Amino acid sequence: MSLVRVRIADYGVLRETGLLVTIGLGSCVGIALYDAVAKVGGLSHILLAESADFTNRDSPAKFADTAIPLLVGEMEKVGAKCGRMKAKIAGGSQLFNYNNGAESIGSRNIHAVKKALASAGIPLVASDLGGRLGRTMQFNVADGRVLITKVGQAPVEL
Amino acid sequence: MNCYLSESGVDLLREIGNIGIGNAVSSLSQLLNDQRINIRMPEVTVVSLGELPDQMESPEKVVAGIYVEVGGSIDLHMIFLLPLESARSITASVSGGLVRELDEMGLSAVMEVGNIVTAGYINAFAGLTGFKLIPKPPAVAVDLTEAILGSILAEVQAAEDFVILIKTGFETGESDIEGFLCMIPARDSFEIVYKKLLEGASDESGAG
Repeated sequence: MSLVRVRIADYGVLRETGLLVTIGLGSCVGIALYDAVAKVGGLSHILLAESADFTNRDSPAKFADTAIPLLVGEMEKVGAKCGRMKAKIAGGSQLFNYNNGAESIGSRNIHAVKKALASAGIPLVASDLGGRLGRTMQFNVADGRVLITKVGQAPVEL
Repeated sequence: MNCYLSESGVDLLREIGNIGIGNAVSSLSQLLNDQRINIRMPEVTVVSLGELPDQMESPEKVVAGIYVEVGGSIDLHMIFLLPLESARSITASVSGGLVRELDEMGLSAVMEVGNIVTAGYINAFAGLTGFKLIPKPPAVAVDLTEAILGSILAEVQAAEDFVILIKTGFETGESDIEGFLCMIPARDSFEIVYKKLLEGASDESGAG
């Protein structure tokens, strides 16, 4: 079975079988999109919320609002249809304890991902978000199951 | 991947890393009752954001990370990473054996050690360049290396696709404490440093 590691500001797409894995989502958010009919899965690891806030937008996979259209497009190339996709997302935690009263980066990332999913018309079916711990996401493309592990805690299935 | 760092730029940053870690480690040695600490050669690399965690030898390991943002004449980011066992050993050592776990007290001790060690590095850097460098209060987290570095990149809103990493490391002989101290200058900051130390030097010799 193939295993594809998705790094920070990166994405991966697999069909029928294999694992898409992203290690250590802190304030980053992992977005797993799945078309169960075509058995096509895509996983994206975004770092920042909105590309419009930056002048350098060379890496669409880095931002929530550009990563999702990119991932949908790549999945469609191998037979998926956007209208059949469902999303499971995880991450957006706050590892470092800043008490500056501002909205955390993780929280901003979560909002941006939800907004981008809504504008792509992709339903969000499961999520594991926020808190103080980093997460690792394992996405099994054969059945669409997503396993979330956190340091010192029992794994959770989405 | 040295797409825009010249050889002299790399040499300069390696020298800053050398002086910085030397000073940082002498602070750490005092905290650890004058233990002998070995320094590893600084490594200077230009890495993509995605490759950054792999530079740390253990992206999937749980580590204690202390993050210090530095402002003033230039902006840079200091990251002090300790494997869990090393963090516990340091905590035990500075507390005289009273604190052995990374609970709230333990983390507070680790953060303070990180603060002192990064200050040693920053002071050496400031002395070398004449820059005014002002560290902000430190923040600490215990998690996977990749989660810690990703959170720092997000926290600093890393818009560039590549960062300059000046990685220094150390290890103690007897107590098996090891760690990494990394400096990531903002890209325009690197240019300011480069101008000040290299071009400034050649201007002076030209004038003389």
